[in-house]
Amino acid sequence: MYRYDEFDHALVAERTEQFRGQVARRLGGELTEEEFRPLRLMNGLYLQLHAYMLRVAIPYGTLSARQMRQLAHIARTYDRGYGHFTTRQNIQFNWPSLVDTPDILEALAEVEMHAIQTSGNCIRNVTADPYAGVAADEIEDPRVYAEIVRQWSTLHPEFSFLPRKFKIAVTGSPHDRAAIRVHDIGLVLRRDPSGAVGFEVVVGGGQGRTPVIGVTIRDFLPKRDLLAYLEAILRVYNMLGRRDNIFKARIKILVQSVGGARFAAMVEDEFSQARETSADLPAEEIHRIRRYFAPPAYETLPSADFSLATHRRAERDFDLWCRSNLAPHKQPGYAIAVISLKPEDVPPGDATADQMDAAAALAERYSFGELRVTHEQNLVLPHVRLDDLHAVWQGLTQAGLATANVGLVSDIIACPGLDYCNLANARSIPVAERIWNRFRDLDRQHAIGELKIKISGCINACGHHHVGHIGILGVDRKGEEHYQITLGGDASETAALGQVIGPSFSSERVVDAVENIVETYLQLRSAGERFIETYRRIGLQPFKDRLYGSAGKERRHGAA
Amino acid sequence: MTTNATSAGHGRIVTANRLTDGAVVYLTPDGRWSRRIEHAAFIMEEPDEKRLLAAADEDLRSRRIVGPYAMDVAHTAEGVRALSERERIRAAGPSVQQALWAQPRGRAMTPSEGSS
Repeated sequence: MYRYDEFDHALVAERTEQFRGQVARRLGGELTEEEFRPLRLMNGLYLQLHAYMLRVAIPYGTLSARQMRQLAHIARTYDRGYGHFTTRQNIQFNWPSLVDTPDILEALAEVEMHAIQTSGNCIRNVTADPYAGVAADEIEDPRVYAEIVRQWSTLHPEFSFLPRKFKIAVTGSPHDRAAIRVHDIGLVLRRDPSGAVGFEVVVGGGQGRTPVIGVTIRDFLPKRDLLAYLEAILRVYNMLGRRDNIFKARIKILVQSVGGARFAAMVEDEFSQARETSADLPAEEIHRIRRYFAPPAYETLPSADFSLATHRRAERDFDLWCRSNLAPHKQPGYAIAVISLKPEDVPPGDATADQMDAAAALAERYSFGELRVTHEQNLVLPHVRLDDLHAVWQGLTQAGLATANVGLVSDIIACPGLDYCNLANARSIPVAERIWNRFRDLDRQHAIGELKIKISGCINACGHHHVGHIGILGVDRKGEEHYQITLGGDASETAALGQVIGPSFSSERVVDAVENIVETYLQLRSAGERFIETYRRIGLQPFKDRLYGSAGKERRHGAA
Repeated sequence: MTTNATSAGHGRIVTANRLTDGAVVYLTPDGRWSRRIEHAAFIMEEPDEKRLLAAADEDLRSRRIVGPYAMDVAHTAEGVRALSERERIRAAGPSVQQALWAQPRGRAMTPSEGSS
């Protein structure tokens, strides 16, 4: 893992002290709310429906056990004993008081964490494949470059007041687990025909009220040019991005308005002109950062484990968990274990302080002290020996974290919605909980197979509904919560935006509608076909016909 | 006129968030801020709303609250009820995880159930 150097330590300590002074001046009356608001937002502190909310950056979703314990400590000491892991691999505390926030930032700084650039029109926390460094299909660890981009973008003076917020994601695998194509910039590590490794550069993706799949503007960018090229993209955006209309200020609008080819030409022009003065990324610097992400001291182990097979045969619950919650590791004898934060009656992504401590303890004992946060709001133990998996599962079971549902219908992404968020139009979490309950039978879930349901409580799309296989968007219809359903969205390397299936549903009917869609899939799927594959083969109409056409009953019972 | 929200029918009340911890508060007839919506001063006439919002602005300046505004309510047999879902959730707290959020903050002051 990356460790702060003296500059990182000094910067974070300085910012914490600055904020302590700003809070004191606000409470003492020297700063008005208008003056204070941008200062608190620069430190990740929002004012939500019921309380302040502090958003803490978890760079590229990588956490040490020590950091996770500190998050638990903060939840317990300054909040109400829980936290919420987000679709940007961050954590949000829902109930911090203003007066405690400087102490929270100090506690974060003790473990090399902060809340800088988790708000505002700047380059936000860089996200990455949660299986970075361990995925069997990986070309190279993307965290090396995510960390380089993090350092380059932190308090970058030219890019601190962009037209709008800016999100960068990096992956090192051909299978995209980081939603690369719905980011302002997506970087995909690739090999060129000579075998050299560089980046495919994707620009102008995004969700929100104008969802767009990003366009590739460079098939292969040499590593050395990474920062200079990012600088060129940001500079073109900073000059030409709209500042007159907040809804048209993201880079996706600029790319769409000039066209991908023209935007690429502008970037190439800026890149070639500024090359002499732009930031260089020499191989020595890449090598220096890469050392922080050196693999742990794996043991040489056989690729199959007898005790694992025995436990799986003997314990059905453990076998189910292994089927859904494990991913192949690049090191023989190890697995990537996903900790589902989607148990029954718990908001997706929420974890109690005790659960955070339990996850940290398991990471210390079984995963070289390392954890990850996924953009799908789960946690990951990235290096678990196959013969330790049963003990890990037992530990997770004790902590209420062993739900065997990763990638299944109940592994739902949901934003905080109207239960917490000032921007929301409708609740997300209760819909997720009711879908969970409707499909509570794990055997049924496993029989349905991979199905990604994503719920947002408003058009800002923090719950990624546009790229859900089934997307659910909360809308306000004459003061009542209604839900619009989209089908066919996909956040992976075959990225696609969902299509609206038809009129929205009342809160009472939306779960019936989801079940109707799932039943249609089960009836029409070919052998071995995932939901998204069936959808692509048969299209929207059969789902629509069965949802609305076969009986207008949904309409009569509340669809509007 | 303003009353302690006991009159029948629709009206308005003034709400805000408390500066120190962001808690939802309501302006009472005696000019204090309560955590409970039923304590709110019930407004039926526009001049009263202006007067209460002016009082809230004073408290904004004296750093007791942030973001004051007037909102629609109905007075029902069960008491004052916010008309929008958003305000109902603001008044009652999140509709999920109640066992967790209803506990006090670890070290911070427990929000007073009465007036601040």
